[in-house]
Amino acid sequence: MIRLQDVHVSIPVFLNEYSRAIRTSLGERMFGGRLSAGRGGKVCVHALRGISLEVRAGERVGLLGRNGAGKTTLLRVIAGIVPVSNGMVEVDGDVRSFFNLGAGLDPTRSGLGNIQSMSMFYVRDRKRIDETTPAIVEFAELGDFIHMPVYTYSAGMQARLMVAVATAYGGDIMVFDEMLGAGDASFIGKVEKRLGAMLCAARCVVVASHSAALLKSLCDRALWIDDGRVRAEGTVDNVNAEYERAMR
Amino acid sequence: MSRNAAHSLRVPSDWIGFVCYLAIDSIRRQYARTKLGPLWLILTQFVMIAGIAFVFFSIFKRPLGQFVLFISASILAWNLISVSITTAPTVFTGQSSLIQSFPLPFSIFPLQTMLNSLIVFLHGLAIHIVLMLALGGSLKTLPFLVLSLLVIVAIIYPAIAALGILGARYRDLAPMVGSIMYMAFLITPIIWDRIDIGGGMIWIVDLNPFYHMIEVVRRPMLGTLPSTRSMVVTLAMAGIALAAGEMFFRRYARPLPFWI
Repeated sequence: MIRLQDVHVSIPVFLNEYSRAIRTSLGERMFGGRLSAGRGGKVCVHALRGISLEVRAGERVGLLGRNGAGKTTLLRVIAGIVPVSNGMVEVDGDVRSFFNLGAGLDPTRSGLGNIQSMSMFYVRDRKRIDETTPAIVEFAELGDFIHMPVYTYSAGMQARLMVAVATAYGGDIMVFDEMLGAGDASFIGKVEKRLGAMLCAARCVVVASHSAALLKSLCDRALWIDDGRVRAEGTVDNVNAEYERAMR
Repeated sequence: MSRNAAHSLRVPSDWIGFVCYLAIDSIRRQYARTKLGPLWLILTQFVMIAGIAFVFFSIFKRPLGQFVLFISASILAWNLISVSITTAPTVFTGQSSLIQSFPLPFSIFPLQTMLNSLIVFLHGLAIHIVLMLALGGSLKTLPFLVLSLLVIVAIIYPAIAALGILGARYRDLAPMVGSIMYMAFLITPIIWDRIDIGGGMIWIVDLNPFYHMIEVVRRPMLGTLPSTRSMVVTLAMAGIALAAGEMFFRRYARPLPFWI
């Protein structure tokens, strides 16, 4: 279960040469969150400004909104990565989140070595990793390249490896950004199938996407996040219709 | 583990294995594709020891055997302390992609740095023991080293954590600490001994916290025990470091993801 109450996130920004120019434009609405001067003239981005949300067991929630609206920050709050400035966060369960799939990737090491080391960040259980490794190798379909250093891989091959690792371990609560669409068509199909199975097994799901079709297929409820706030909430169809009307 | 919970220097027990993995892994990465691998851990330290011992032997005409052992113990002790402190300001900034992708407890990164230094130290210690046996040194006080290392870890680990947070917020800290540690290397009796300095200046040495930290580590490696004064000073430092470090970490660790 996930419960957020009046959550605010202010991200301090440390500026050098541009600080004066930015300070003079403070208060104006800007793309990508609201900027303001805090104590002592410190510049802050108010990424979330009072978000309340409840996701009960069995629910799948989709987040809609333009770039910089606060969708990813909200996901990071739920995942326990970003601390909130104000408000309450309650997350009950083992959260699996994917943000930067490349985090922990060492290009000098082989694909197999990276599977082992990157898996440690998802699950800290050597035995489980050893048991899952053959399935990850098979899923990535990299053939003998799995024994080659990752710097010899093409971008698509690297993506295959990262996605194969990230989607190997399910969790109670799944939180992710739409970013798994890497690789060629057949691989995307495989990833979607695997993800679908993982999401079925998860108790709560929160996913951010720009694709209404994806959200419709995955979620039973949607939130439109705008300027760090919930602008609309309801069925995916209704929220998406409202969102598209406003964007027109 | 969530970043909205209170932060503590205490690493949760189910994370300890992971930290050991990270520490060993980072050393493996450092020496990836080298022919000699982690043997470099030993070689780099002993090139330094041999160089210093040779120069001082030629200039000051010290008895070579005893002096080599003294320099070996001193350099190993100094590296244990200084490498941790010098890398401390970047301990979190160097891991920004991990911190921003996974909900890892922050305390694992300073602990990993501490473990790295300990692993390097223990490699050097193995060679130091060989040198002691070859040059006729006494190993009878070596077990005391376990206590010394515990005290040193209790001082250094909270210091790394605090410097790591400060270094993330204030980027000038990393080069500043680097130059301070260089000065400390010169003014601390590491490659020279406390008695080498003139009588009137000894109080400067006795006020230097690095001197007492070096002493508790190197004396047991040379067959003697550290002075009571050094033991008391380092124990007090450990108590203060743990308490102050924990308070500092609880108070200031939370915004780290925004600072790195």
